[in-house]
Amino acid sequence: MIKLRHRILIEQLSNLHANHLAIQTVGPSTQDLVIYFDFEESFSLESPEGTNIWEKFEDFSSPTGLSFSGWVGFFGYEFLGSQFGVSLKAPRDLDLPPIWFGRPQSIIRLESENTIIESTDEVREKEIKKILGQTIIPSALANPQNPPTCNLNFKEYESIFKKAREAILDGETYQIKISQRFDAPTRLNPLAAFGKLHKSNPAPEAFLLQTPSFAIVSCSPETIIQKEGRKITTRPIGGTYQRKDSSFDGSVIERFLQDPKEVAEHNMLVDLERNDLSTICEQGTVEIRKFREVESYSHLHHLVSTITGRLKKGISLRNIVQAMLPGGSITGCPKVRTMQWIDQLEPCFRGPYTGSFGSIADNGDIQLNLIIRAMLILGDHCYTQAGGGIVVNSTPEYEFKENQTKAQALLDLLK
Amino acid sequence: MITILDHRDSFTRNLEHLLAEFDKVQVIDRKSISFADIQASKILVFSPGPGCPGDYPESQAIYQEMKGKIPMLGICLGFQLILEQEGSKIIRQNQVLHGVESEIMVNKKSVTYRGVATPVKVGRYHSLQIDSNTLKDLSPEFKITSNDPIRNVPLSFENLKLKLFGLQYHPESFLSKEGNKIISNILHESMEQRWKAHRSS
Repeated sequence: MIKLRHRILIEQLSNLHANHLAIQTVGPSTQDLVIYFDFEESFSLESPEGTNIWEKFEDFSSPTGLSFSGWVGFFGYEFLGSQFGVSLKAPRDLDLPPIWFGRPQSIIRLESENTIIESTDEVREKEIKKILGQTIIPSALANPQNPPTCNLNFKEYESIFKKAREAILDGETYQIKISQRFDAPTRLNPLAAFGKLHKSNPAPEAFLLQTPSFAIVSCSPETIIQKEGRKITTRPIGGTYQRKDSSFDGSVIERFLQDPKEVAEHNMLVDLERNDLSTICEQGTVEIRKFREVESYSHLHHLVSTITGRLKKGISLRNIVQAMLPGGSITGCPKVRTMQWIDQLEPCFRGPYTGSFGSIADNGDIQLNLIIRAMLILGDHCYTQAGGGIVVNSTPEYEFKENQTKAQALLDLLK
Repeated sequence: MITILDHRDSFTRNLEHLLAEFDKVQVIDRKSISFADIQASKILVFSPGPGCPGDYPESQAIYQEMKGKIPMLGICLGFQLILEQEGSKIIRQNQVLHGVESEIMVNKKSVTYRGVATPVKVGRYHSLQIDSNTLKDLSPEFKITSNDPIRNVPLSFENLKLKLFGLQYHPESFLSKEGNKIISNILHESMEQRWKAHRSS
């Protein structure tokens, strides 16, 4: 381990020229980051139905001896759906693996005033220190060609919205999350994009995952699974208000907390997450620790609750993933029937969007988020998807606009 | 043993944890439940779920088969399923309620609400309702025990002779502060004879 008495810049990581690189936000501050690279073993899947991956996660035969030893990567939405027992049929129109995970052999921790370098190989540790000391060769963030387009115009969205609303009136679903995909013919530098996003919109679950074939840059605010020992925590976000001018925060937040639509949406999510935790937790241990707190981000306010439980004995990673994912805040409720409706109504598959990124340690600890507020970088194109919950008293105009607002922090990267 | 007949709802596990405060609970999908599973239970609970009772013919058949032989409790969809089987009709509500905490008008003399603190506030998740104009088609042993105070929406029933109970709202929701007491009343009543035997032994 090498400790530097200063915090390096995210841009300096570009000198590593890593094929695969992941950055995860950890801890209560949005500033502490862990950078994972030098992946020795990694795997992905050809189709979402692959199931033998669980054995890989439970093979602890080669611990790295670093402060983190385990897997880092993502589960795509369709893979999680199939594990949950819902087979999704929307066309896979982008070339991406349904999941990707790797075991990092080198780690850099960025703390408020320190940089800690760890690697399984001491020679490599010294080399990393040297590389990080080199001058940064500035790289362009983006080369915008044309403005982004969306896969749904208002008329198309409205038509989907009406079908979703009929389903609600019939009791098929109580709340359904419908998303739109924005596509920009822009080549984006993943590391530079993450650096900019981390400055403009720091978030508790912001991350970067960079591979030779694709990259995901995100300012996700939402933790779906935080597991330490047998304690498991989830922090569902439900309810969104626009934030145009922070000087009005006080009165806007007051209105937000009294808005019956937002309150009902959030209540539903709290009951849904209590349910999912109850699947894997000991009876009587599922508790709402924090209820309906407001968190404010650059363009938005959110309602967040914190729910915890104590896991039953013998619960595996697979049990946890199947109980908690896909996250209720990105499907709607009840999950199974609602996911089938989403599959019918949305024009394209979701891929990493509304899947889950994070770390799975050999000691069983887990930090997994929901992949939202994310930019997918694939060759010469960038894609960001944004959606919102449709409930009985939603209006298509408002929801359509809210989706744009949710995409804005990402679309700003393209300017 | 309490058995929950599950309709793949996202609140079933909350119900399981609530019921587990009183007895062992097994959750079984409606399609894979066996007669032995039902026979082993003191009460059969029909879970909430999406859609309408007509989507679940297996559950309808189980209700008809077991009626009078074992106590049964229907929650939300389960409540509608029992009353529809008994002759009432299901309609869309004028005002759909999902995730709404609502105060309800209860019959304090009923078994379901015995000793329940008022005002009774419950968590509601329903698009559909029992058409109150069709309550007259029920046999008189079915007593409606609570209603929506503004709109004419039946919200619970009890049939003490056949030990059948139903709640349109969700006693397992964190919004239903008296959920535990209501379930306790229903379980004690449905296990009454065993209860007495247990106490006198």
